[in-house]
Amino acid sequence: MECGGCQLTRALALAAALVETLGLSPVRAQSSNWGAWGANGYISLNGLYDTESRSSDLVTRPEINLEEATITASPETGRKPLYDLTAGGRVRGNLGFGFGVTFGAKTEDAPVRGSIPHPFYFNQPRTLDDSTTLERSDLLVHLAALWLLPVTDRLAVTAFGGPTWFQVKQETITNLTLRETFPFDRIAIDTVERERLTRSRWGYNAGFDVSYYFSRYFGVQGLVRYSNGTVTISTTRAESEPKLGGLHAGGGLRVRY
Amino acid sequence: MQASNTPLRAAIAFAVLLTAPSATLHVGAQSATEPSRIAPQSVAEMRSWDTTVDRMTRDGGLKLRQRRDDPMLESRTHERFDQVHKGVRVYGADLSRQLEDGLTMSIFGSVQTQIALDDVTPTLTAADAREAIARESGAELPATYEPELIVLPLEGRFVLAYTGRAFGSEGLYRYFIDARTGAVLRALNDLKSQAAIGGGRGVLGDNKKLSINKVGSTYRAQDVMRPPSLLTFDMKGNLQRTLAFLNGVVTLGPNDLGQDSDNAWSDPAVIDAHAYSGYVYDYFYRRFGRRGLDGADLEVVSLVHPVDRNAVLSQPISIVGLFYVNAFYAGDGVMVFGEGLPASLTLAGRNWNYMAGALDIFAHELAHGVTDFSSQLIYENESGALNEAFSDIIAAGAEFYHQAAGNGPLRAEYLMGEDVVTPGGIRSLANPGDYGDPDHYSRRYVGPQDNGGVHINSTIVSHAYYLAIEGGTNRTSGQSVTGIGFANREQMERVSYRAFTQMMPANATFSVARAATLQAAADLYGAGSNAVRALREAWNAVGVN
Repeated sequence: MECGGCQLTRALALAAALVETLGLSPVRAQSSNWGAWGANGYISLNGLYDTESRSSDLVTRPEINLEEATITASPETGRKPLYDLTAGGRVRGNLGFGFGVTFGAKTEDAPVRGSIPHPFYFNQPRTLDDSTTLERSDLLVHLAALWLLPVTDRLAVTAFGGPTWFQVKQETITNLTLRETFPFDRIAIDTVERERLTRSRWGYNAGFDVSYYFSRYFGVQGLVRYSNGTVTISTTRAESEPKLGGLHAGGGLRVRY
Repeated sequence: MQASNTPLRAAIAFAVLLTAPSATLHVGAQSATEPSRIAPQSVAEMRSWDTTVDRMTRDGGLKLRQRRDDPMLESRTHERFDQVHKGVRVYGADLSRQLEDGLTMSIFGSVQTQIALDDVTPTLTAADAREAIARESGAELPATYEPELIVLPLEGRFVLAYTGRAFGSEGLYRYFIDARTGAVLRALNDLKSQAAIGGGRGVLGDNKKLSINKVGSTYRAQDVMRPPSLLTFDMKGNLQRTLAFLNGVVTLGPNDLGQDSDNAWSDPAVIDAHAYSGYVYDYFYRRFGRRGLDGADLEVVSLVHPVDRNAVLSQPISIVGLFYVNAFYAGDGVMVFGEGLPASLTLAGRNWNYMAGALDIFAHELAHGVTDFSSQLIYENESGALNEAFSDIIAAGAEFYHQAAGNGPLRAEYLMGEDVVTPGGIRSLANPGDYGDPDHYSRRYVGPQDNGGVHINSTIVSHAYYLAIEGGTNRTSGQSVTGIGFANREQMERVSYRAFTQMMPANATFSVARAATLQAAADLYGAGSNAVRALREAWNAVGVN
């Protein structure tokens, strides 16, 4: 399956190449006022990919058969395409200020393990080993200090870092119904009751990008950004702290103005 | 289970011979067009109905739906008839007839005698009715779905209708469609009941889960999660009704079941009886692969509160012996659990709590049912003692299976009834002599009491079982036995089960039991196994050769 971010990157690169081919605003004509920053700043639209494979244990402890059950869903929360919009502008010299928004959503396969009380006997739990799917979306808002280093007229490298505000919307399991028959030793998931929780938290980001301009306005860039944070998700009688962010890499179209 | 009190034993001997038909749930039809009920109270009345059934069958008014041989009583046959009107089944009108070698033994049912419906030609086709049901239920029904044309008694008249079940967004419903107009006449919720897990504290205050049937807003002591139906009836201290049921005069219905409004149960006798009924079923299933008393998931009926505990002083000794300080298997899967005595009264120096409050008593009684459906050990003399010994062996096995080993309430050991007959219970497999029971064949009781000592002499056999597991020295013979050890106790349980249910003849003696158990041990674990050796030593130690 192709990732959406990769497709977006290719599309942006193609658009930039098209602009250059049509001879719009050749880069040779740029004034020195523009430089790598542009007159006012730049905006880039990127397709990224969350490169890390990681799972989050989402624990819930509903009452089943008059006892507390423990259900742990471990969805794969990384390895997903992201959409990213970034803007930056010069403050002084090579120093600038940046702002970015990254969004990604995915319905994730989640292995589900559990300790489920027996219907007839206290303290004789059965083991659940099954799977389900859980939805999750991540919204990351980055603020960053930029250090832009022009390499040539066309090529520049930017390093950045700063705080990130994370908002995660995570489906969690609140309860289960089971497929089970006498003697009730073996169990499997029949239906899943889900709840969508929204949590937010501050973290941080750091990274760099490499930009290359084909014309006065248009260019492409590659971007690598690492962001990190944790959030507390409270479920029935349990709390989980899934990790947020990760190493995101990709590229897109960059426009200076 | 039987107290060691000798005067009571005669009463119990009667009790265990008492037979009772299995309880059946019977809910009367509620139609405004009341049918004629068939429940003959006399032979003459039954003969009359028998003639009517034959005539209606000849005339086409009844149609044989099913004929089956009775799995429990040889030579008995059960027939079920549907009433039909001009070839169309009358909804809710049917009857059952029990025959023995062609002779009618019973008839029960209901029939409509004044059906005013001349034309039974429907205007709608079955396909039209299917569409109407699909529309009403919201269910997607296959083309093969064919509603049945019936005569429906409805609000004082008879209507030609189609009926069929469909599972739609509102659940499982039975729909009745007017076969002439297509109107929906009725939609009955056909989801009879819902399994639920309830909870409560038993006789000894311990927390138990209960497999319950929720009907409407009422929780009933009917286990619908295990393969057989396990029913616990609360007789509410009504001795006359208890006797009437045991003698087959009345049947018990849903309202007689133990009930609770919020599923947090509060009657400890009902709680323990219902829970232990399941525990013992599970023990037989998991340990031996046996499905209930008859091996085919026979319904199990437990009766609690058969008498009023506070009325004990006004009761004759036979009733006290039967229904207060006793529990018994009444045949056909029916068990009765004594009410015990008020705390201020003692008998034989002991307090007597609800008999349903002891797992070993429950297992003991159900094991009698297993014997009834397997070896049918004759309940007198040595075969009777073997019958009792097997029940004690199963009782101890079930206790160790479900409870932690140790002394005190809700602990597994080799005492019988010690949780509700305090202190000490009524028998010991480890030290029979402590209760005045024999631990050696030379000490066996040979008098007429207790059906020739079926309870008394059972401890010779059950003590051998104990020695084969735990080892020790027989007090009478002084012979020592090296047991297979507690960790291997399952071996001796399986040996006993195999010998007693599959090998033992009905008139077995202790000597036959010795041979059968040794054969079973050799079959299961090999002729040179520890099980065979320990068992041989144990039989030698108790003087059975």
